[in-house]
Amino acid sequence: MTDLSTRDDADLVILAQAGSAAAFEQIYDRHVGGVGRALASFAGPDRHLLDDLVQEVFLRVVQALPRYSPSRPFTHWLFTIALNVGRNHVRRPARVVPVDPAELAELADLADLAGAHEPDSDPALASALMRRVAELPAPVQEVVSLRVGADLSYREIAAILHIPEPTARRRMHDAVTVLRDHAGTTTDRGRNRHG
Amino acid sequence: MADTHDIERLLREFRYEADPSRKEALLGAFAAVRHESQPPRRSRVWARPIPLYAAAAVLVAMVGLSFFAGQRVAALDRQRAVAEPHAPAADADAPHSIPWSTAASDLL
Repeated sequence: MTDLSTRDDADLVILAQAGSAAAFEQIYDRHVGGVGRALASFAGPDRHLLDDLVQEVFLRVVQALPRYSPSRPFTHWLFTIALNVGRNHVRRPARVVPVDPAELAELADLADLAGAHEPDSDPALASALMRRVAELPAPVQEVVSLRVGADLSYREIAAILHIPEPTARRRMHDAVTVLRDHAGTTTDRGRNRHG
Repeated sequence: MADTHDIERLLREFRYEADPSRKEALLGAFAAVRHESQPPRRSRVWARPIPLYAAAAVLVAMVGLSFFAGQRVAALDRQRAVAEPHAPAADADAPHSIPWSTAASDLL
């Protein structure tokens, strides 16, 4: 049997459109992690909701695959679906919700630990950060979702969201600033506390 | 203090692992959609070229008609053969054309 893992997305889509279940499975295995990461910022701490959202994305892919045109990159199409699923299902306040400083202090300590020990990845820290991202305004959250989930460039993100590229960069910067500033403030407080 | 790149890198380290049962359900949905998009098996028989069936039907009809026509002709021939011995004999007194020799002797 042909090794589908070496085929690019365009080839896999053509095979899947022709009815190849193996090709669709390869598409799923290749992109499920990124879709999950992209939707994690919408789902927050609710793991079951995240599973449901990811499954809904791929169900929509199954149904819409015959209509997909290869003139558009597959990852753009896939993560546009993911973005729409996230927008439709998550109930979010319109304004920024103030974050509990105590929780941020814990987060800052974890961030310092990650900086002090060279990164062997810390999924718990990443999960904690993702929960914070879920509290950000929707436009900022969507940029973060596409940047860290789909690993898209700012140009690609801007094309998907129909915004200027500088706007996409600024929104990502805003997200990082919120996390960094709070982490930095509470880190100083933590250092004073721990001596 | 964590800088921009650290924050982005940390976010990228989020790991999502899907429940295997979710994947099986999706593969089942894919198979169902694929099955629905194919025509029913029954119609595939009739999807073969219609003219082929029509030509075969015409050929069979021609052979059949020829056979039965031949049978009918043979039957008529037998009927005619049976009827001919009983046909009425020609009348000796009925006027008929005069032979040339008789006509010539009368004039003489």
